[in-house]
Amino acid sequence: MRVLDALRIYRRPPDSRPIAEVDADIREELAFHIDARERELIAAGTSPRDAARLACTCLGDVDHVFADCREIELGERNMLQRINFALTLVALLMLGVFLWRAEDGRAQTLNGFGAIEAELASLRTTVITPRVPVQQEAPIGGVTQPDPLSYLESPPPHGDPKSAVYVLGKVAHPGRFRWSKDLTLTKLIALCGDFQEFANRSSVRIIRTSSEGRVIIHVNVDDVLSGELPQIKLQRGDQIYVPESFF
Amino acid sequence: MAEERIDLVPGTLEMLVLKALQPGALHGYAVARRIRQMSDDVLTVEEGSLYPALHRMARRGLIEAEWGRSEANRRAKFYRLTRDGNARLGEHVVQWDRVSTAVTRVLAAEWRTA
Repeated sequence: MRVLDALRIYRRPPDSRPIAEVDADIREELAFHIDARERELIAAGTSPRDAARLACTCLGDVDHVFADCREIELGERNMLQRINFALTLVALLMLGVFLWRAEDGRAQTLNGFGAIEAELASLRTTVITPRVPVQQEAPIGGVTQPDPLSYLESPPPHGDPKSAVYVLGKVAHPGRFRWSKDLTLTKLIALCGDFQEFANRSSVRIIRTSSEGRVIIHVNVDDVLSGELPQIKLQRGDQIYVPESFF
Repeated sequence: MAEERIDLVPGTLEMLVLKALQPGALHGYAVARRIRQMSDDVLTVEEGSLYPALHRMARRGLIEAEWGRSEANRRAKFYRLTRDGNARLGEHVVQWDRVSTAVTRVLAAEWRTA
């Protein structure tokens, strides 16, 4: 009941009159009260001078009373205007982001798929020579470490492109990698030297071609890493594309 | 006489304004005057709080306002009780009756000493 009672304030729609008109109404109403008080005092025998002085004090702080009445009349409207303004701003911002993302996504799709196909074509025809571990200069202490990158690239997939997987986009070392039965997406990303800055980790695409056609699977790698999604095993010939994102 | 006047019990202003408006439309000054008269000059409405209360009640739909002419032929804002206001007055009266009865019982209670 109290809630319903509180909501009664919304029964009358917000005053839509110009603010100056609302202000003038309140001032005229308060002025009438002071004038009526003065008349009554004079009728009761008070001198006009004293009556005017006393009448002016009958409402206490008139400006305060005026401000209270004004807040009641316009407060709801001001609040609604602020909410409207904030919502409009948020809506415009969201629209802007949506359009920007849509345009970005379209550009990525148009440019990206063309680039993917071109890169894939070059990868398929490129013979990747296995990296020979580079002997680094012995650091102080005398222990020699092999180049860690020498383990990231797999040997060439023995001439069969179908026994490889391909990684493109925003990873440190994109390229062709040898497929194995236990190769998962996160393992492959690790083999690629992790994501680059601005890589869109939440929308990594696995492009899988089978006899039934091409399927694009969007994967949020963070969800996989956090355990919310199971590990995703890769199949022969999978193409992994890591798009760019500034969010 | 002025010394005998007392301020309104907190929370009763709305009820008294609604009651004052029950016979018909009044401007703010007349509302304060009627409450004073109905209480035989005992209750005084703090006039500074009367107008915010009137505006709040109008916003809540308990009363409605309309500009008209006063007895001195001056433009004045008259307030009239609405149907919701009348219903609200009924609720106030019931609540007040219960409270005043309870308070009276408490005050009338006699302590038994051993």
